[in-house]
Amino acid sequence: MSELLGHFLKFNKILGLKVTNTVSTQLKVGLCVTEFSGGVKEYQSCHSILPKFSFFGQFGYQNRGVLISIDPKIVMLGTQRCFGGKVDIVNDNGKETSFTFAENFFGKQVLGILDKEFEEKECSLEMNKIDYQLDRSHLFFSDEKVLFIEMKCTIEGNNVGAICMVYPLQFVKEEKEKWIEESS
Amino acid sequence: MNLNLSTNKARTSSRRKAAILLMYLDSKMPGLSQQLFAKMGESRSKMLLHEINQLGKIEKTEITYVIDEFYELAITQNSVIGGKNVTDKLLKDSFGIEDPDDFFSSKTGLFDFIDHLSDKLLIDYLKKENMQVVALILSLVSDERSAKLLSEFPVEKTAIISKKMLSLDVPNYPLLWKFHRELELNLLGEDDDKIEESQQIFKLSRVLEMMVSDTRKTVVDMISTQDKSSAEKIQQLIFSFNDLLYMNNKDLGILVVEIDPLSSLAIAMQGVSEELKQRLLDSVSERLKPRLEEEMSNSSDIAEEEIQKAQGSIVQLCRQLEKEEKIEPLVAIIKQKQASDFVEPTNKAPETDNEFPIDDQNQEPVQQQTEADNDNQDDAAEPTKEEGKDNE
Repeated sequence: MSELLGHFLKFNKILGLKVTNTVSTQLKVGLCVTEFSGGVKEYQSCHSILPKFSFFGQFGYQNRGVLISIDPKIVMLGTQRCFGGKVDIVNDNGKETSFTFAENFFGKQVLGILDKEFEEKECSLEMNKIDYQLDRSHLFFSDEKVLFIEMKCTIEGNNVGAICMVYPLQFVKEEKEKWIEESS
Repeated sequence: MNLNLSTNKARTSSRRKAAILLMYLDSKMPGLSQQLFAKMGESRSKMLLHEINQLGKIEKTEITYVIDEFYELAITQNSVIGGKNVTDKLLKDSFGIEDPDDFFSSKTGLFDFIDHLSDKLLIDYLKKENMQVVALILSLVSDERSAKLLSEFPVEKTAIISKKMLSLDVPNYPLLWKFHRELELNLLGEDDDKIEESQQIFKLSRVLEMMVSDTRKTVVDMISTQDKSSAEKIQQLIFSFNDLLYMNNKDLGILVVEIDPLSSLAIAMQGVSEELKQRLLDSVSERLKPRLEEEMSNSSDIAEEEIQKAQGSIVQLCRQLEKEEKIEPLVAIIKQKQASDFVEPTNKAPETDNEFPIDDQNQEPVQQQTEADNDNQDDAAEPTKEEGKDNE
């Protein structure tokens, strides 16, 4: 498993690079991954790392799912940049509890980039739901072992939280032919 | 995988239907779509082209459904294919645009649907939106509207938005066009529903206006039990014969000249308030007045049904004169009636007195006005107006 895990982490690293590259090019947002970490954890320990309020994308995979979280700061500051503004940290109080229509649009674009990557790999993931509250996402049992990826990001040098991914181990094992090629 | 999570399926479906129909028509009559696009204008064409771009292969059943819905024609083709090549071809044929990517890369027409949104709807949306987006949208609307909308924000926010408007960078236009379409679906979709509802109410009010008052009352009562708000809206749009009391003298004069035969006016005048009778009598020429009075006495024992029929035809005549712009819009009269809180001028006054006891001081000016009214028919509506104010 450790070798497989190593490959999968590498696959996600490349995926993170592709996402930031596409976001920077297409959405005009200078998004960078500054810190990458990942490993097998119990879902309940991921729960304490994941923000309670975030842009959550739930992808269906067989009878399970993959959870992707995009930090609200990425969404809000990204929206600013995408709509012709400068990254305005001053007016971002970080206390928002909902996304606007434009922020929702931006968040969906970022998820769409990830979605396209999985689609190209022909992984059987299906976008099911977008939610903003962690406690409304029930894809894993609390004691279930999952693969947790955390990509801490900056936008134009400002820390903007992380893009996190939670995969069921089933996905890592069963889809390995599809993603392993990428990492080798 | 489908990431299109738009909630407004109905709207999307309409566009899809339009796209399918256009593709089908073009397949049957090549070149027709070009003419249609030219008529549609740039902004709408862009929307439809985007939809065609997304179409892909359409099943026969769906085409059949669309065509049947449009004009019930038999379908002989199994499928039509949309896609980027088709979009590119249509852009080239209709607008002479060689590079379709460039077409969606300019700000011409961007957010133009906002011009059709009410200030209220737009400000409700903008108040909930990211301030950068507000700045961008305000920079695209007229200066006057932008100033008006900006004034709706708290001062601190106005300052931030203004600052953002000053430092706008060139955004990603193709992406903004995508956002334009989603926002349009979201905002105009809601607005359209409201328009549709109000249009239905308007239409129904006109239909009910043509009915005899008993039937009308029954229908409105029935609607009221299920949807009180709509029933009230309908009632507010209905112009009835009794509302002629609020019509100005000039228009009333024009109306009575147009009523033919005069006997129908005499029949319609049966059972209305003395005040209205007097106003109508004063509106006819001195020569015709005795004839009208005679007709009135001749038709005193006429059936209620006949009276309502005659009143209905005069109401329709009012609508016709309004349409021909020979008289002022009747909506002003209906508004005046609503302001006076008088649906049935003849019967409601005593009820109003019971509900809102008026002291002698308040009653006096009303009576004086009524006397003055007899002298000056131009002020015919004033007494009820005054009384209405008291009630308010």
